[in-house]
Amino acid sequence: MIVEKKHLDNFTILYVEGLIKLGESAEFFSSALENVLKNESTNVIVDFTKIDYIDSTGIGELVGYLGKFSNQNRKLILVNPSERIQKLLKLAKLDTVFKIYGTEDEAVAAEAPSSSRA
Amino acid sequence: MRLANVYRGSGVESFHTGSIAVVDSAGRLLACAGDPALLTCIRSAAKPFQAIPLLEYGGAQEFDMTPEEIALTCASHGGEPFHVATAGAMLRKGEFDESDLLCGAHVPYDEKAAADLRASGESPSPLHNNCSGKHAGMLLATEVMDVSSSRYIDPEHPLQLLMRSTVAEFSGVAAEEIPVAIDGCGVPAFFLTLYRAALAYARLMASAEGESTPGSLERYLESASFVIDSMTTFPQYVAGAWSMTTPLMQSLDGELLAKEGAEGFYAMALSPALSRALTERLHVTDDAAVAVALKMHDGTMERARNPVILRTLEALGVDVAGHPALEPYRTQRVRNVAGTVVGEVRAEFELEML
Repeated sequence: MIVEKKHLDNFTILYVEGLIKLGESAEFFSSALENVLKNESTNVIVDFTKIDYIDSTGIGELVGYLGKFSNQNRKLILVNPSERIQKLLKLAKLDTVFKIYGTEDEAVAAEAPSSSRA
Repeated sequence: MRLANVYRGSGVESFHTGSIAVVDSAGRLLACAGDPALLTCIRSAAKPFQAIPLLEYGGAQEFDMTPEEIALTCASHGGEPFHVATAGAMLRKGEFDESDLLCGAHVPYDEKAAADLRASGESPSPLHNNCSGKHAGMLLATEVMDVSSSRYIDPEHPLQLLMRSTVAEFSGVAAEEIPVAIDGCGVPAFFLTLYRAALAYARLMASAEGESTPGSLERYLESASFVIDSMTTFPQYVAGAWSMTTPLMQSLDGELLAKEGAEGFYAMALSPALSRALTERLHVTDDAAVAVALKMHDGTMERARNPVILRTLEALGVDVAGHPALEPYRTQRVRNVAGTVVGEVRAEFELEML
């Protein structure tokens, strides 16, 4: 799995690519989120556009970090997650907690503080 | 423990008690209500495990079996025309016919199928029996096992002994320690504690997910996957219009395996992905699958069991309210003789999260 990182306004954007599954890729995904959690104070956008597959380990990491970011009053925002991820979040009643957008631009436009949109 | 109250007006007139065990595939008891160690007969909830020997002996390949046929092998179906036709087709693949079925005949559970049959002037056949798919699968299993198909239902028949040992493996109990009785369709019925029944379902789901899933049984990866994929992809073959099981699995869209047993028993297994998505409620921190076994103590079926099943899922954090197809099952209306609604049965309990 590949993770690229970009900073834009009050956001850290993580572009993830490939597979997230039990083992090295899930650990890599987790460490990328952990790094942003510990070393930055921004909200986070995870762009799933180029993710081919995410297994239950990856979903567990995602849900786990949702709580960790929320505890710091920070947002974990998803861009273009797969239908299955969206379905699972809905079944777990997390779809109202996770902010989900179709594109990075939509996410930034909707979630940026009003001062930076002006 | 009281799980469902029967209201007449605003007053509770009576109530149903029951017990529930929520267990993950690693064997951890995650939540419960009442007595999770209650020993009970799992009845038709054994069917997904009873389908395993047919698959392990190569029956799917030998008879070119479709997922719909595998789903019917695990079914308590309503005797709708497509159920009956599929059971008949399965029999023909092994050069059997309905006279070989030893399950007996009963009127279809599905109201329309029953009415149509009455209108046609025909009597129910063994193909209408809710267990005909299981029995057809058993007959096919005798072929690939190369054992006699006569009296295939007897507890000492090699197929039935194998089915008992399969249930034993998944539930983690020695086969000889599983009490056996005779089910409504004549085959052995197995007694397990709710904990063991839930564990068996969790391990079935875990096995379908792959060898890295805690509690998976490596030798059954392929057959467990075939069973679960077939049941969750074709839930209309697992039950039909007569039962909540079909809309329940349809609503959860492949993330939940569900199977009824008679006398108020029910089992469900959540996919590891859904289990992880519910991690804040269930505290599952690895990729274990989670399963539920529940028993209404008085054997009630639709009246209280359906609301209790949905309440259990809700208590685990599953979005039940978001599915219109499940709405009719959340409460059971109580009507007077004139048909006026005068009360309802509501599931009202909390799971003890451990």
